[in-house]
Amino acid sequence: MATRAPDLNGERIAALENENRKLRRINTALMDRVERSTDLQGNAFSLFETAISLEGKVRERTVDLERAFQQLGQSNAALGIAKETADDAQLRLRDAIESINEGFAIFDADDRLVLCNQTYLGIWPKIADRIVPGVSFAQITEMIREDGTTLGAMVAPDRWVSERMAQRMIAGGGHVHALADGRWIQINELRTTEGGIVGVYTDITEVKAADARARARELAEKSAILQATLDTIPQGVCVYDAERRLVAWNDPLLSVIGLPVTGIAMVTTHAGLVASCTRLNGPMQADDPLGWLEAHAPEAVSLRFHDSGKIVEVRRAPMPGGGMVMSFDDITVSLAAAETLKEANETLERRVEERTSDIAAVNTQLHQEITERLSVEAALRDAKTAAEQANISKTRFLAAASHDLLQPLNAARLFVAALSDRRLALPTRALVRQTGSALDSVEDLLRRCSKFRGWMRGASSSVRSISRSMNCCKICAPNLRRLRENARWNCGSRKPGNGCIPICDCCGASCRISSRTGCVTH
Amino acid sequence: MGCMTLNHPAATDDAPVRTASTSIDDPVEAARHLFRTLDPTTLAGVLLFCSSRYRLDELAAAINDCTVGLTVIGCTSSGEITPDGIAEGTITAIGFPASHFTLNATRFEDLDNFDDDDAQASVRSLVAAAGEASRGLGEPINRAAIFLVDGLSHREEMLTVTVQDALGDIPLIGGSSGDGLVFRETFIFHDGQFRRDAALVAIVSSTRAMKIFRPQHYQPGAIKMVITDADPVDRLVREINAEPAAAEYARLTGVTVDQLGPSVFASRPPMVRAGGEYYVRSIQSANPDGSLTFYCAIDEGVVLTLGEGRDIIAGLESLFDELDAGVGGVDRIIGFDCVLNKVEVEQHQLTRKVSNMYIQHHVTGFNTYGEQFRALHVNQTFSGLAIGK
Repeated sequence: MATRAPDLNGERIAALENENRKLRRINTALMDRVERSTDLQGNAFSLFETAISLEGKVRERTVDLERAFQQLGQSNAALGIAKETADDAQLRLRDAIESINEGFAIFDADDRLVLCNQTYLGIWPKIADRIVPGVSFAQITEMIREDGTTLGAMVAPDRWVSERMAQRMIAGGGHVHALADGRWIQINELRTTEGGIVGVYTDITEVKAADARARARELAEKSAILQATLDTIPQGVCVYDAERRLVAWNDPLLSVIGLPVTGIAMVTTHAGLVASCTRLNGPMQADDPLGWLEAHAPEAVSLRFHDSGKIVEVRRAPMPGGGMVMSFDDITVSLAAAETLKEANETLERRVEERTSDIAAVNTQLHQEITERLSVEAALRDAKTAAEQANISKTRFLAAASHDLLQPLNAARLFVAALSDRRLALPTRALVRQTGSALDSVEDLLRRCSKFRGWMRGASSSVRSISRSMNCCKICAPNLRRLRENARWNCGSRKPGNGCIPICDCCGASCRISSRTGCVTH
Repeated sequence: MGCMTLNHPAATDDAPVRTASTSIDDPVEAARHLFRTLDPTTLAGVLLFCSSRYRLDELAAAINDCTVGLTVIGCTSSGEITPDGIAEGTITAIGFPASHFTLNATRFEDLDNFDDDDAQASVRSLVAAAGEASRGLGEPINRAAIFLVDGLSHREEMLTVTVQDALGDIPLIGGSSGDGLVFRETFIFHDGQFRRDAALVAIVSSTRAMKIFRPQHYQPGAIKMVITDADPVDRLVREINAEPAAAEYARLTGVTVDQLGPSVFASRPPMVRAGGEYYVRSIQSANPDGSLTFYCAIDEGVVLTLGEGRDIIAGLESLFDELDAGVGGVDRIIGFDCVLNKVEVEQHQLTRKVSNMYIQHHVTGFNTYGEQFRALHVNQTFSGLAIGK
């Protein structure tokens, strides 16, 4: 037992010691852990713990910061996209300007190169490697001046630079520059919205060459036309240049100035012309009709008298660039014709004068005759007036006499008519009828006397119309003819144009007869 | 259980998040089948989970052939949650329609030499890029960051803290890639290649409501223990309570050392208390030298509490109800389910039931070697992202 107890005790002690050791270990681990828990360390478990315990707090504090970071990131992303877009645009622009045939260069507001294409660089091969973005236009111009790439820069460098800079200031279009290598470049410049300049450089060498060819062709054509024109002019024409060499002439020239057909060699110079003319046609006149005119001298017209009697009108005119045009007109024939004309004219004038004096004499004679005839005429006129006066008096007398005779005659007829309406014995009735016939005869006579009085015709036509429309009472109706006669006479002699009012004896009513209107009221 | 609501649901419309799954053995055929279903031309991006049984180089090439110009991210898995429920050996993919989503991704490599400043800078530019990319989607935009990491890198804590810090308001949710409990090689897929020792973060942007969640099926029990010897870098625990770690853990859970394996680890996970809450610290493996390797950070002096399982089904039901209400009707749930959860579910013979619940609630995802929720790296949770209709 005694041995077992110590054994048991020993086992217990051993177990306890082991337990104690473990607990100490645990204790150490825990203490260590607790101590380390406040250390700043990056251990994964502490990160886990930190994440849990501090997450809330830290998050609160850092959320603004994170948001700022995010916004920054967002801006960067947007910026990145914007840059990408800008790069794309730049690339597209580059591709675009490379694809065009013209040289293309963009300069910024400070006139520094931003972008140009290969064609632009190709225009300035010697300085191409020095033309990079950022180089100013003035620098490029200076480089061109130094290298003499353009003809202008080669010939007059300073002037070319100042002219080029002046063109640049205007930024207009269409300056043409000849390059030293024979190419021609047309430069069009345009201001950009930001104040820079876009330059388009077009190689127009081909165009220029074509232009030159076209111009030469046109000149040749014009020249041909001119020559043809010259040849159709009857005057002789020749043109000397500033060096007094013959440059143009026409076919009639030699014959007009009296040179043989083969004589063109003699006039190839102005001096030759003067010499051969002097030799062939006699000495020159004092006014020197073939003399040279300096530029700006006034046009001259003079006559050259040949020994042969030929007269040539010479017109000379200086040409703007020096040189002289001469035209020769043979006026011998026209001068002679003018002389003949003058003589004919004089003869004619003399004959006209002779005729004029003859006519004047005849005229005087006629005047006298006229005067005589006028006096005869006046005498005749007086005689005629007297005759007319006599005639009028006679007519008046006849008219008055006829009227005075007719009045009682009519009354007599009225009574005869009234008598014939009565019961009468046959013999009596025969007497009445004969009385009526006798009265008719008297009336007939009177009428014949008055026949020349033309106005009666118009009046009788008016009165005739009465007979158709007149309404008369039974008493008056049988005597209508008388009434009518009376009215005719009254109206005709006293009041032509106005109505007359005879009284109807049987009924006492007034009877108005208008000779003009033909209307009768009763 | 930690849930977090992002913005409120936008108008309901009919461009659902698409899913597809294949178990065709030939990588080329598998990829063709998968993307024929997804119609890549109308997608903003694809998230895929791939069994590690596939020949990954061939698969990557096949995927690239089918998705030229499309953002495709993914990882290897230890089991997938397919449109037809829980499965293994498949390739399962989620397609985000371009009409309603954008997906922007970046990755980090050489995680042992991880430079947190560089990483933060790259995450910030990613956030900015996502902002730019999603400009056309409309307002308001909701975002979540999907995080996938090499599951054997042991760098999750460092990464999540760093990345979440740079993400700011955008919540991070993700999983550690798996290899079917072989623990040899795990990969993430980004930029046309499966990559080791790498992590990726992808920002999903949409006007649809999004909500991240992190429930666990465990609660702390009565038994506590202290880690007395550990290698935090390798997540290796040599001693617990001054005894060899595996033996002590086996003793406390009432099993023999040779019985230690995923099923024990799954049902009795050690938990740590932090910030007033208990978090599971899952054991990956019991090593021949008597030590234990963990799925997550541990340290000497850490007090572990043995966890006990809760009613898994009831927990899931309440989770799905909450999510449905939170996003105004779930269109799709992207699930990152710890591989040990799957083991635990199998042990309780609940696989079919849970699988049906996943189908019913449109869960698609994979079984992880760890989950990331905001700045945390946790274990044995069913974490994920719910996307509203």
